[in-house]
Amino acid sequence: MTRIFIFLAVCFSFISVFFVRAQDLQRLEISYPPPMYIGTPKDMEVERLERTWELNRPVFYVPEGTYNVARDKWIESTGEEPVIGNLELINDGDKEGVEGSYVELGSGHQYITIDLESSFNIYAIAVWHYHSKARVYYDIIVQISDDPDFIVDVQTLFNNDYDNSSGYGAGEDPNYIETNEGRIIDGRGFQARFVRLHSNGNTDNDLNHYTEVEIYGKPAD
Amino acid sequence: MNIRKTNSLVLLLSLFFVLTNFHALCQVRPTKDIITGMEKLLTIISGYEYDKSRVWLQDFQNIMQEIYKDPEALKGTEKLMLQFIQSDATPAGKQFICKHLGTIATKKSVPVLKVMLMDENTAEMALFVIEKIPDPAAGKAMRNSLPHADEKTQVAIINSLGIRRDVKSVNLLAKIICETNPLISESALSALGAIGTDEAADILKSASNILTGDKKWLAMDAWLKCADRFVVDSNPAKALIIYKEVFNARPPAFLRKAAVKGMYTATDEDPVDFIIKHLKSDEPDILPAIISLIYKVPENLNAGRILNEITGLSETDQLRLFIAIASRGDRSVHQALIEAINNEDPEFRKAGLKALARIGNSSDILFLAEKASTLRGTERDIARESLYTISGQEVDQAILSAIEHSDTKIKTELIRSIGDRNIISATSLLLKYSEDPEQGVRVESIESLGKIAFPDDLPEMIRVLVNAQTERERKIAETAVHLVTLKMPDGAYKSKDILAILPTVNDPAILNSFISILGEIGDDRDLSVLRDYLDYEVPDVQLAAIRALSVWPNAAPKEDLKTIAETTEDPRKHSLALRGYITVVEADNNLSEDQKFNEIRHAFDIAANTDEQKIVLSGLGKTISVEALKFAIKLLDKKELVPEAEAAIMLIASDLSWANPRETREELKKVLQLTKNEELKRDIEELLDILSKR
Repeated sequence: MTRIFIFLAVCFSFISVFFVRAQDLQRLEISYPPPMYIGTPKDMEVERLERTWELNRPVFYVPEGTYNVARDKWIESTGEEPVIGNLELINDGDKEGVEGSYVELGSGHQYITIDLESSFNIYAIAVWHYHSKARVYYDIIVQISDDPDFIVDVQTLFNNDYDNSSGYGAGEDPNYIETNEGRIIDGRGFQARFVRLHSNGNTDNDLNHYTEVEIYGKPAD
Repeated sequence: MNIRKTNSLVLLLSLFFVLTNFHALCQVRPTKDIITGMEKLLTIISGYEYDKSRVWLQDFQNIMQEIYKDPEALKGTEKLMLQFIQSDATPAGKQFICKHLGTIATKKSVPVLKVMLMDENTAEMALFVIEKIPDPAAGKAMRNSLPHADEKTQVAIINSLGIRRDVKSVNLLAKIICETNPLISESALSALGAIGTDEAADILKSASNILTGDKKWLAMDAWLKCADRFVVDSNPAKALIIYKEVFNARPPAFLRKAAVKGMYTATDEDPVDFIIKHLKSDEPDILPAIISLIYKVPENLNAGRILNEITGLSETDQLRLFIAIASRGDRSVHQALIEAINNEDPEFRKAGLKALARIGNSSDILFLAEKASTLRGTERDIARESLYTISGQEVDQAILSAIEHSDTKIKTELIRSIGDRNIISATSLLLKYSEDPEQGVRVESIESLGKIAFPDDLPEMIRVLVNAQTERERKIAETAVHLVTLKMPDGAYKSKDILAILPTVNDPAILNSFISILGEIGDDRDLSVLRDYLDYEVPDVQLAAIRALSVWPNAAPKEDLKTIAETTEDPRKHSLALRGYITVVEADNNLSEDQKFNEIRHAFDIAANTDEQKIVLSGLGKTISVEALKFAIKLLDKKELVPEAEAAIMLIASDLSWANPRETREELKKVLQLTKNEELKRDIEELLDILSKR
């Protein structure tokens, strides 16, 4: 009898936790810009290229009250002034793949750092590099930290720099083709004030581009 | 006497020229050496895959430059490349070579290429080359191959005949336009249009009368292409007949639009009369195409009279008309344009905002600033662009006058426009607004100052940085000050004004900004100042000094960074200094590869944890030395660094294989014994295979 009682109590606890979780979480809704091209080019010869994102696109559930905390926040980049556009374009809400919507950074390994101005629990990061053409950007690394120098307590959320050319370890994430749906990266709820996104040229040229970055989170307690 | 003097001078100059260029003349390589060089390169390229390094590319391009100048080498290379594309080289290698063979191939290549055309495995490559050979023999080979090729190749050959404008293939193509296979018949129609001779035009005219369904319209489309060709060949009268015939045949709208545009190009009618006449015709589906012709009307003609003569257009066509007229600079449609900008359709709003840049004047400044402050996305960008490009001296004055009485949002946009319009007289005004109570106004003022201020304004700019009220404003001021220093001439002491104020600054945040700017300027005269701040009492300032040294444009701070990394007990300082040390070593062109390796090896020894060791391994991968390769192999023992060590091995080996093929091969064989990574084994075996062919 006691055993049955304990069993029922345990079941009840699990069910309540499940319901609380289900009530707290909501599906992350991201608005996508119109596509700028159709289909996948056949001659895109890139190692470790993922071709099934459309089929396996994950659905993200985030806590209620999660919003884009990156909007209009301060952004810095490596290198000189941007070649085209300005850094404001990265978090101005305009993610269309047209002229005037993206910023072009210099060649080779470059990164941008978004200062969220205070700590947030980060659940998802959506990034659109340049999606007017089917391109693959190389050595994409997404890191978050409370340290502006990214030395202590750094979480690497995405890394496809498989030959460690940027020095943040050999990544195992796949290369992917840019589309209007960008790439959504799981933030796993880690707490951070700074978000850093690296890249190292693309299949068309050595330059780096960002059309938009959205960071979905909630203020840290 | 004068003539004799002149002759002597010419002789002397000639002698001088020959002597000074003797070295260069001596550098011309014998043909045999060029061919041998190309042979070696082709051996390497035979193993090339799309995702592999093309370290040989520069050598290939250099040798091609030599080949273009040497007729004998051209002949030899053509032969070598032909052999190459028939060999068992990789498809990527063959594709690369085909691209270059196409630029040098002559009729001598035609027999081989013709045979390749017959084989569906090699046809695509052969066509890629043969279609570029100007000799008629190439066209003949393509025509002869056509009946024997497979369907896919037939379509490709037909398209190529069109691109070549192969006149002799007209009859052949005429025979296949009625083929049951739609791919082939449609390609033939299109090719005839591209060839565009009288004969081709006659065939297409007949075809468009005989054929039915979609093919009929395809024939007509190709016929229009013939007409376009006649216009290019200065025979507009002949073209006009075709355009009119197509237009009057009442084909679908896309063809009528193309025809009416063609008629506009070919007619000798007054362009404005032409447009009025066609706007009056009852053809609602092609009116947008006719209105778009207004953009092509010569500047000296008065297109505005269209407005007086055209009535009864739909609201959308009317807006299109106003925008087109406005884009020509006709201010009579100003009010209509404002209505278009307030329309519900975003396309009209965008077009209207764009056109306003052309006809706008100082009275439109506030309207555009208001739109820029309320719209989002592309529309806001266009509104801003128009605000920045409306011409006229009075416009600048109007902006400056309007700022004071505008509300914050509009004021912000107007201040922003000062920077983009480069209103250099507004520096004092911007300095005033850099202290405005509204943050948005202050931010835009500081940003615009960075664009318009001159080096003479630096002391004032520095004051703005010191007085910045928020961190964001200080960062913007930091960028602005740096931008102004960039306007100084080379050799100027760009940091002079900053150094003057530095001893008086005690606020660590402001100090950090100035130290950061010193790092960006990177003047060796400032190194001693930055070294002093490495021992400053506030740790954050010490970190700022390390960051500044880490972005230095040369290797001067290498020893500073190395010493900090070696000696400090502070993990943040250690990590920052180590990263800076590696960056500086990588960029130091004065170090040999062996010296670089010694520095990187030392960095590895002082790295405090695995993360830092991974950063060092990234630097190791860019060091082309046998010792570096051996060290990377040794690190395969360290479980936590295996993927990074493997990556470094491949990077070093790929580059090192040129200078030290024998040692690279020996070391790679050792890796094959040590590693369990199948992908790495495959990559190594491929590289060994290439090395064995060298």
